[in-house]
Amino acid sequence: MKLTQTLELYPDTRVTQVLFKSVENAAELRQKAVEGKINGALINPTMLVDPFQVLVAANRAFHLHSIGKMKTRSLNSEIIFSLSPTNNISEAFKRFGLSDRDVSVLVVVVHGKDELQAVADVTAMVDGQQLPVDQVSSLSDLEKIRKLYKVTPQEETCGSLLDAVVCRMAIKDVM
Amino acid sequence: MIITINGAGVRKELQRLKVKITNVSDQWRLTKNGKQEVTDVMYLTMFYFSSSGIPAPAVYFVDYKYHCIFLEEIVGSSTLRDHINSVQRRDSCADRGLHELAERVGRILAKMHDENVIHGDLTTSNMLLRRGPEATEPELVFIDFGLSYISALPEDKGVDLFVLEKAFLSTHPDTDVLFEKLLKSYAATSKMSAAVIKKLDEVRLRGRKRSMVG
Repeated sequence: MKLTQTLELYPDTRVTQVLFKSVENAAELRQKAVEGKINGALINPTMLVDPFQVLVAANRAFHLHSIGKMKTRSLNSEIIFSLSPTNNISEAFKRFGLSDRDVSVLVVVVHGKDELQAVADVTAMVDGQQLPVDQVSSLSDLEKIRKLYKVTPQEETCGSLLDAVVCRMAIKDVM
Repeated sequence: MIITINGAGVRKELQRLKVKITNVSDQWRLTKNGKQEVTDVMYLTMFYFSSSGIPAPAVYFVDYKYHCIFLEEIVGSSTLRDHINSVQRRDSCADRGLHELAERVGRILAKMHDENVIHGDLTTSNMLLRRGPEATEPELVFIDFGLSYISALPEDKGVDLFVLEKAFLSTHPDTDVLFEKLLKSYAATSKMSAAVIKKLDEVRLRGRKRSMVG
């Protein structure tokens, strides 16, 4: 169901993703997140192509956190910001973060090897139905994704949509 | 490397990135005239931003602390070099497959040069053939942009082709016809090929003269 992966560059760190649909309390969750009561990032899964996209964002956020170069105020908000192809923070939150009317959510928790309670705590707060994380593509809004990441049809014939998306995430402040 | 569902990435150290990282934004903008020295990351991203879709490994992660980038590993692939060698060893009648490949390379190079990207180290070892699902053509992927730069000058593009020609003909004997096919396809695809081919001819002449004297 949930997916836990190790960040190879930071081998003591784990990234766990949990996916929910039919979420009833999005507004409450968002409010709690704003108040800093949620130890995880709440992501709008319609903007996701694959769990790898989230892993790349978490890796980048953690890296910047570890060298003190985050653009946002917390690791969790940095994960959301890392998903965005642009450097506009509020736009990133608007597009990739959870909004009050959403009915699905992907929760991402960055934790230590043995800190599984952190994941359980956040999972318990969501009033929704858990889905296997690898089914996130069933919730994807591909047209919105292509538009936001500005992916051309030629690019998709050359490489996958996932590659195009991850590339833009990886190089956005180098460009 | 990042452990992923799809497979691992390839780590590549970049010395130049070390210098640039602290001076982000303006220094990375492409100037209208002349060359701008940029790194692998720029070229790979240019491909992803360009509408012509030049196949190259995806960038997964830029490490600002250790100054390296993590690229997509092209799994299930062999170099064009190995492919040509094995085909030639097996059967000269299979040349027709090679001709089609040469034409594809020419087309991709044309698109790359039309985007004003100079590879800088064109050899058949820097072109990979990635096997796709059954009964599909293998995909051509260009790699190793460590010597790349941006230039609109036909001279630079001509030299880029010249480097490939020398590498091609020295690595693969009796492939003059193959390379001609490549150039023909390049000329047919690129919008600016006439000037480039002219420069290529000039460079070829220069090369010959030097070896006559030396």
